[in-house]
Amino acid sequence: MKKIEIKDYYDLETQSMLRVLYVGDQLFDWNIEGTEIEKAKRFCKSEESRRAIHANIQTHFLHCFSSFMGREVTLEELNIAIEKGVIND
Amino acid sequence: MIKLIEADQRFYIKQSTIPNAGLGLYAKHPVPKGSFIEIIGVLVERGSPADHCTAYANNYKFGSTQEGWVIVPMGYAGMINHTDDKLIQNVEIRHVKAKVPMKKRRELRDIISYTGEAVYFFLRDVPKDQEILGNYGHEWDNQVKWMKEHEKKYKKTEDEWVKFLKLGLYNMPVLSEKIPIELL
Repeated sequence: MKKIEIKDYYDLETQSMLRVLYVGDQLFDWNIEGTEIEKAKRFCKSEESRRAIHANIQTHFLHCFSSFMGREVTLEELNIAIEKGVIND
Repeated sequence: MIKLIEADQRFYIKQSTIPNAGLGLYAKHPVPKGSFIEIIGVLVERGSPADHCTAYANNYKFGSTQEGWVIVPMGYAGMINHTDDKLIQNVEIRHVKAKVPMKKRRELRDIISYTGEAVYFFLRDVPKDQEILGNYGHEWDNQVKWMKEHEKKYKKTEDEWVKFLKLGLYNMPVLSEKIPIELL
């Protein structure tokens, strides 16, 4: 079991504060660029397409987080872990 | 500055019969098979500053007969929606040089202009008030399939995703603001 926390982090690239995940003392370095969100926004003509974009981002996030953890992690597990403050290795 | 007027008087715009498609194009009068509606607009070179500056229209741009150029539509043809259903599709895109007899041009000079870059060709007679529906082709079909697959996935995980978004991690607040979702 490892500690999982949300901490504030100053992103030098975007020069903005972000709330990010730390597992143990390791930063999970992930983000979605504002320009990509703007591009995706232009594609959204309907609620269907907005949900599809969100699902796509969710898939990408979980894929990266699972790689970071070295095993598959579901969104449900992650939410519970964040609530409890610990996650299985 | 260019002033562009869509002068074709055969059509009008109204809410589309295709779900979630927004507005669509309809026939004001019966349109016979073999007619066409020209795709009017401006040509921009792919990858050029003009192409980048019209990125808002990327989902609407048409290929051109001129290699490396695309059409940013500015007339009725740009309002024609896509359908996979061959039974209700009544037009298709053709890249043709419109050859119109001079007599016809004179008759229609205040209604239609012909430059022959790209047209929607009428595959069948279209009665008055029927929606004009085309097929955007393979790329669009793929896009629609992608959207449906992802939307299905979203429905399964919506509660957890909304809970996760509320944590405000990374750039998710920007995502929630720019691409808001209604709860199912």
